[in-house]
Amino acid sequence: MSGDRARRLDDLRELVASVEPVVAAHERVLPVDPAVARLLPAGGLRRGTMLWVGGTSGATSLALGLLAGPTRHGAWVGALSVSSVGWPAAAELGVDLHRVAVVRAGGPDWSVAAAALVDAFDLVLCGPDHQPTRRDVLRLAARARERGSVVVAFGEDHHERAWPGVHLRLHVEPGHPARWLGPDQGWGHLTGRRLRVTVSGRHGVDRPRSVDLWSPGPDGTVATGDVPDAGVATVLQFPRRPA
Amino acid sequence: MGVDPDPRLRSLAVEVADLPAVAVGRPVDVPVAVLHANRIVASSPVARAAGVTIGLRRREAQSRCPTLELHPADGNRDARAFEPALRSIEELAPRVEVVRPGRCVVPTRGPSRYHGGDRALADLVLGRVRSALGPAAVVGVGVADGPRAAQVLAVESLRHHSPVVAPPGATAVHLAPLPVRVLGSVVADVDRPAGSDGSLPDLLRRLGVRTLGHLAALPAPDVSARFGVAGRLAHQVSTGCETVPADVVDPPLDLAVASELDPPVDRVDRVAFTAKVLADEFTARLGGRGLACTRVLVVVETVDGERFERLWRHEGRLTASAVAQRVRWQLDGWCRSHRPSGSPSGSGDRGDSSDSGDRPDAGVCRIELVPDQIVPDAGRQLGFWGGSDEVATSALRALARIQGQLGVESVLVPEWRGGRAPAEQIQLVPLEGVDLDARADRPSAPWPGAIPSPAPARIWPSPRPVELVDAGGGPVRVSGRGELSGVPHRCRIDGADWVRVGSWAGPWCSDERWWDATAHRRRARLQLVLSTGVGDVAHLVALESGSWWLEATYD
Repeated sequence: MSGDRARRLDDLRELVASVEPVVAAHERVLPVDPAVARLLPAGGLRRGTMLWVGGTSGATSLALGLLAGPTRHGAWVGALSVSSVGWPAAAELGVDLHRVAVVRAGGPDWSVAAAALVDAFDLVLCGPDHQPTRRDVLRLAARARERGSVVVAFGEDHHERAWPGVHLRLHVEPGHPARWLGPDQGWGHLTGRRLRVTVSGRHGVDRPRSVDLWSPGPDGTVATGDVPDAGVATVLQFPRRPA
Repeated sequence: MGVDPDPRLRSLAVEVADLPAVAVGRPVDVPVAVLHANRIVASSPVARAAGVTIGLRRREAQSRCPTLELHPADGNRDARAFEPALRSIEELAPRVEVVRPGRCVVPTRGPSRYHGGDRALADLVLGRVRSALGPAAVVGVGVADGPRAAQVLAVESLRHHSPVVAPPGATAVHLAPLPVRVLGSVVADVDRPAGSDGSLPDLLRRLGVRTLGHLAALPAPDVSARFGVAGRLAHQVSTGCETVPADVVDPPLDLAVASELDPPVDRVDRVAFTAKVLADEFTARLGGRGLACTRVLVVVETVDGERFERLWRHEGRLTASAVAQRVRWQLDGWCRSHRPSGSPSGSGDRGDSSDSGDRPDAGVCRIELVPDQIVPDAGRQLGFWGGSDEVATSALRALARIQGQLGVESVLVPEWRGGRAPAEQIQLVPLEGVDLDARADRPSAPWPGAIPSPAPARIWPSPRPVELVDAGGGPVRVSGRGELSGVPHRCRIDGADWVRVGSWAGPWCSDERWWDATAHRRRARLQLVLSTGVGDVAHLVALESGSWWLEATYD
């Protein structure tokens, strides 16, 4: 009974938080999935901020994992210059695709489209197809701060230069090898991946800290857990073919 | 039934069977089908004879009829094809109300008296529509005491090849043997759209009410109490006592909205874009008074002083996107009617014939939307505090702004299509062509032969060449039986450095459209986990006609 009561209390607190009359923009956060929440100092995506998700491998699925919680809570995502994103993977990571709009705009149109998206969307996802100029990014950051939307940019390491002044930086560690589980020499199939993500930035992170994640985990979404627990282990173990 | 039918409501309905397949404009002996969201929505008589029925999946249809021509659904094409039929009906009777391309309703009180009775009018309409649409079209005409019953009879008349006319007061007799399923297209249920599980006809059928006669025999108050507004409507249709809803309001004049286009616009898509904004304003203005529109008059004027009106009817209520879509249909049909079908680019007066099909003859200078029949909006429950809905509205408005600046094709939304390869499962389609209220969900059943999840997070728009060799340095091949010629050992993407293959899985072989010489594709896919200095990188590579390609990356 006490668990039930605690949960109801939590629900009520959440309700109170969402209907509180006057809240400054920087105090509001978009709720994210619990595993991803461990990465973010505010426990969610703080409105009006800009995030960079980078790394040689794993940045895309981590960025999509950030969108899963907000879209399921009714937030809309405008995605820009993301021609190579695999939307089936986004759906498996928990993104509600009914709340995603993709805008094709390159070159000079990029800043026009980005500004329009930031004005009306809770979340704007910027992919690596187009590298904005420094001025475009700073202007976008100011606009996002004013409108209370969240900009999530992702790409490989060499794209990061284009995004100065991000508030939070999630980086998939190259030193800690990303490990794919599932396949072997011709049998099984990809099932899950271990990642170490380093969080740094100017908002609530005094020094960089690292979090180990499954992305994707056993159920296809981003999950936590330092060692494969029993459930994960059964998913990831495949019968070996007799030699 | 005690209530005499209202003579003002007596209507004639015209239904064109499988208009989308007719609109494609192929010869009668070619099997044609139209596809929407991987399901057949219309097929030509030849294709139907080969077993291609509505609702089939693409693959199933192609296996039943290998020579089948498939075309994507296109409402604008249908509207263009239906326009001649509408014009021919307008010559016989005023106030044609278009339900959708392929179906329209005309009040018969005046025209019947003029042309010598319902039967004579129905025969006349049938002849005119047949000659307007050509031999490929199968046309049905029904006359009944109400517009909805007339639509049901028009669908029914498709099987008889002659008009079905229910004499005044005898509509219920004509409807009684029909299954309740036919109500699906005429009684719109806000909560449960037709075709879904739990829609009204489905529910009635499962409760044992199988024909309209059974439904008509039930007491009206009980049906009303149990099935709500939709049930009451269905009961009225089945008893032939359709009424003008008691709550229809005379629309105040100031609910009409108009937009002057200055400078005049001569491209249909631009006009349609303006219409969308106007439709938003239109529904917002109605919504502000708690009203919804069931019939709208769309007026388009050009700089030449031409005025083109059409009445659009909806059995539920018209949403903003539905209004905008109807404006678009009207414009498309109009452009077609100004260009005789014999010479599609024959009007050399504009100089450029390349896209003249998209242009009205003269610039459009004014669009007006007039609500013709409005009802109190019983409405839908919005999110708590209307919150989520408000977010969606502002998001859609921003997208419309982007469309205005960067072109209609620049805003896309993902739509589930299904397929084996990750790239086939979801397609990005222009926002214009999507009904946001009725989008397909992720299919729950697994797709046979698909690569198991997780799906790759990045799918490369243009595949890059990959070299894959075994330990001896020989290229890895896949045999016709799906066996690898060697164990993948090293691989090189796009001429970069060689990387060792840590582990691999597959191959997943697919042999698609083997019955079609041009679209036939044989592919084998492998999941490769490459051990690089910075951790594992997993790729999906495909072998096609002797070479490997990088399709996607599990990023």
